[in-house]
Amino acid sequence: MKFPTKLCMNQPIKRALRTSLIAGALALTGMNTCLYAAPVTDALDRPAQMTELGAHAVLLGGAMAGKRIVVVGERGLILFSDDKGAHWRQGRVPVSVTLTAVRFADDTTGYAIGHAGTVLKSTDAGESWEKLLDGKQVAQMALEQAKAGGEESAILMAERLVADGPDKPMLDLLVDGPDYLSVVGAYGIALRSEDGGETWHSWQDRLGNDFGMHQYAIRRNGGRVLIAGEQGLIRLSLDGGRLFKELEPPYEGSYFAAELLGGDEILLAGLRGNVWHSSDNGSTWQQLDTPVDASITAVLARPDGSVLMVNQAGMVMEVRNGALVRLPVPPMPPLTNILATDTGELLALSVQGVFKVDLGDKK
Amino acid sequence: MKYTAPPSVSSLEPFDPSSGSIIERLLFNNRLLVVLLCAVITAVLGWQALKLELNASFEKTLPGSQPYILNYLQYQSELTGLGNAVRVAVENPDGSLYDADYMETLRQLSDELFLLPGVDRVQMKSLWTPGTRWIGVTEEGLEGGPVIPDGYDGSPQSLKQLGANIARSGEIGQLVAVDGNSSIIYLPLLDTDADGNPLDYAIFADKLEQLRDKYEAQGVAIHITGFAKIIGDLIDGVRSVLTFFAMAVVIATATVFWFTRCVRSTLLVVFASLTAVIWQLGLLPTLGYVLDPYSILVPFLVFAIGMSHGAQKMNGIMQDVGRGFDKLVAARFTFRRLFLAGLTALLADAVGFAVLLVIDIQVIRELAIAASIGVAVLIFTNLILLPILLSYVGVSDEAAKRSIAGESSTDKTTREQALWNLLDRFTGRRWATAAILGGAVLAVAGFAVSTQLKIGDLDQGAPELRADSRYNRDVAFMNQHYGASSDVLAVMIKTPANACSRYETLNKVDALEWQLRQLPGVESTNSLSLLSRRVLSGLNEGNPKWYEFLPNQSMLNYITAGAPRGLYNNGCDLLTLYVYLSDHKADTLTQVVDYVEMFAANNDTDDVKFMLAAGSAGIQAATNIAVKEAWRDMLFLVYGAVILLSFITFRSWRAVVVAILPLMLTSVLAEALMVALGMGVKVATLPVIALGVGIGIDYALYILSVTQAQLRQGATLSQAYLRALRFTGKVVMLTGVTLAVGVVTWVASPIKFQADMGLLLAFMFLWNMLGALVFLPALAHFLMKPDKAASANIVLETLGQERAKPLCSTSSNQCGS
Repeated sequence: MKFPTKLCMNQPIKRALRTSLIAGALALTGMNTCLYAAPVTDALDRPAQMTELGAHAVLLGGAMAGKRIVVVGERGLILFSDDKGAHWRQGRVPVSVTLTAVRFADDTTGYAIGHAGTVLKSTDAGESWEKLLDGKQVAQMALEQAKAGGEESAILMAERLVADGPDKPMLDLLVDGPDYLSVVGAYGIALRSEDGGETWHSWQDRLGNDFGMHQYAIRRNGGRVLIAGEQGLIRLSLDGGRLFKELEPPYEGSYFAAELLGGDEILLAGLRGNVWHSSDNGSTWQQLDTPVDASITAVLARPDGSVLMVNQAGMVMEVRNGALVRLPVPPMPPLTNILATDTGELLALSVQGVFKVDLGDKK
Repeated sequence: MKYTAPPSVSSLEPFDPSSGSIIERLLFNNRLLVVLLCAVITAVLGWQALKLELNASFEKTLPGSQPYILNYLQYQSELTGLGNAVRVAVENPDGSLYDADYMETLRQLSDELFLLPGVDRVQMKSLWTPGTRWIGVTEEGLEGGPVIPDGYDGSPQSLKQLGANIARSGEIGQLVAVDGNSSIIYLPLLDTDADGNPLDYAIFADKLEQLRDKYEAQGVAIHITGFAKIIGDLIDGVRSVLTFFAMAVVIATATVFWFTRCVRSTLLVVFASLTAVIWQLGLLPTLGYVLDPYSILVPFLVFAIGMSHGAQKMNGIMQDVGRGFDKLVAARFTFRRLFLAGLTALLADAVGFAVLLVIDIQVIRELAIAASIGVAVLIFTNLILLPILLSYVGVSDEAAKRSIAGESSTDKTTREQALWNLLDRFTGRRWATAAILGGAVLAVAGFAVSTQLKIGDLDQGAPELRADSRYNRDVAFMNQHYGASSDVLAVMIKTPANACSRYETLNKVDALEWQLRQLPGVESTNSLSLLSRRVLSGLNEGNPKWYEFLPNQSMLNYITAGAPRGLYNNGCDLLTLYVYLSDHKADTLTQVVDYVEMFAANNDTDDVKFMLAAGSAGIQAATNIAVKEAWRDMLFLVYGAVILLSFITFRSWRAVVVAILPLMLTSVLAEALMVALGMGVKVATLPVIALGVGIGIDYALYILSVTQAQLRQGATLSQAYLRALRFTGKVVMLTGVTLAVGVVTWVASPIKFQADMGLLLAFMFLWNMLGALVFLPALAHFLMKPDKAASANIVLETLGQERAKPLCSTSSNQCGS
């Protein structure tokens, strides 16, 4: 059911909603129709505004739910399209925080994450979402775990987490099945759930991210799990995430995106156009040339083996012969992500919405 | 007003100078003194008139007590982002701005503009000012520099570096066009220059135009927008009004001459009316007023009204001279007859103007005062001075005989007679019914169309100037090539001192911003909250996943400290939320304003208040609200006043109905005309209806008073009306035409609202005249009945006066008494 947006403004009922009482009551029912002028609450407690501007807003992550394209972005936006991005509908989301990533386990079950420690779940292919976790709960969990552990410094840090409030983002997630997901975020937050988000345990111990660097990317290929992030953070697991090894970074700056290709290959990309490739699980690295030094925000490995990247200069690039080559597509705003549909079409996400990418020759 | 018949004394009987009212005796027995006195006053006021200043003040067009305007005026000094600024876009018509010649021209122009008095040099921005910087993210943090690279020398490498810097500066869409073919020099202005004198807009705008001509000769195209430029263009437009005035004088003179065929008297009437204009213009600076684009129109009205009254006076004198009286006696008789009538008519006009004083907009009040002064002055120049001057100068005998011939001739084939007879038909049942039905149909149709009447301005760009004016074309250029539109509505958020970065407040602003963007007509917004989203990403190495309004107070404080001016004020107790609109149509504005009001009702706290409104669109929204109320009030008042006046004059409610209904039809049709022409109700069109009604009642006063007097004496309606037409019909038509002529020249004005006013007023004057001539008899047919008792007397009286009035003929019943 599509919720009306602008229709709301013309209804005479809007005048009756001047009193916060009625507006507040409507808020409780979860109905979004005439909520506009309600007293403003924290973004975590505010359902996402139904809007027609979604396809032109800041979009950050995307995934396929079968044939359906799902993208997420600022203000709690979750949009989905069943016609290759020609038309978009908006999911009903209980929060208004920026959502940074989304993954689907199958056609219907998916998870989205974002700021304020938010983890959302949908079981109806993205039409509606429920909140599994938020920053307040994450801080509480950390406090309980620290108290259980008894270590003084850990307890202090956890108490500070609680006092800070929910202001830390989740930055990437990995979904292994309808009930298995790993979430990484800023300041070293890393969580795993194996029951569809009912319960969580922390991966912080096994990551050894003592300085609390932000973790921007988590990827899995077979038994390998990779986490990459701020200021040279690289962690690799070869046993599905039980044990993680700290890798010596080839570049001490921040990695915004990563990908695990076949075999023992790793691709890292990030600040100032740094792209590094290893074919031996991080023992040695080779740097790839890039056309400009704009930061790279996403890496896409396509089924035919080609690898695409996008950067903040609005470029789409392909890895060819050890270098990144700029593809001849029309200039776009700074890009945040790129995804391929089930039939191979490409969509680029940017700070000004979603763009179709037509490479002309490739499928 | 009692109509008295022409005297039945021949020129052979001696005239008694002590006859007549006190006023008449005082004036005419001391003619020379009166003339000398008027000459002295004219000299003094003429000299005063030379001191008259031309100005165009923005504050005076604001509705002074509208709550949004009060908010704006209260915080005006703290709203830096909306201040007085001029934007000069320099376009390279042959290519992009990455061209050595273009950059050099830009530099020179930028330097010259920097030196203009009134420019706020610290805040001025162009590609060449050192404050225009690029920012880049590095592993160590942020780096930056001025967009003009070190060692810039115009070489291709320098230009390439310039391009890279501009791409990282965030100025694309702000200082640099999206298509890269032009860049802006942004000139904020100071209210006073270095010596403390207020900024002289006329001089500033002139200098801008000089620079425009100079640099366009060097091959670039220059577009200038900004409030100061509008004012400059308005003042220029006002200067051209003088040509219109000259044209109006010429056409009106020709019309009056056609009416009287007497050179002497025509020139005298023109002279008297111009004297009135001089007195009016001279009184303005004496009382401390200046001339602005609204009140510059008053002399036209004064002149036109003066011409029509003067022509009537002259007509009376000519007829008396034609009957054989000497010029002094004729002048005195005419004065006796018409002074009260003319006085009443002028007072009716004055009442129409005075009603405008109720409207809370300063320019309209000053217009009303200037017009009232003009009408008061006309009493002296055209009702007093003119007859006295005519008593010296006299009229040409030919013209005098001519004017009498028209009155007494029984030859029904003259064109004039034919016209009066045609109009007389409307007193008959069939024609009257047809006229009233026709009028009713027009009224219904007009009313239906007038329900579409919109408040406020319906076009793009500056509403004061025409759509194809240089200024509005420049506005269209800016809107097309640059990000922010020129229609800005600013919401002001008042917080306690130093509390403008509080999370709770900024969170509300963030939510409101996103909600407002959903409204149709809102193109984009800007606020400290939006900035914090971008800055947070920037502080995290530019990673877009950090694009969020973070609920972290120290982060918000940090971001606020580095934010550019305009998003909050120095005392950190006023935030500004900018809403950029696609247009300033009333519907767009109303939606935004209503929504913010709703939001404020639900989100204001004791110390945080969301207030409307600043910015050009905000002020327009406020003005629209005030104008809508004033429209209603003004209509009530002006009709009320006119009905009262009519009642006092006619002392019969039937006559009042007969007089007022055609006026109402004119008002409805004028509103329909406004819809048809795409004019909205705004500050300029508000006075038009009042002026139209206030002056329009004159016709009814002329015609109905004669008709009524005749009816009271027993004439049939047809006879009464015919007589009224014979006596006043020509003057009524003359009045309608001279008034319309006086204002229709405004249509050529470069100032749009002057053109709108001229068109509407001309329509109202002409239609009122038509309505009076056609609908008055038709309505009178049904409402005004002759006095049967008196009609019996008429026969006796005519018989008795037969010998004394050789020109009367009982059979044609053309005598009155």
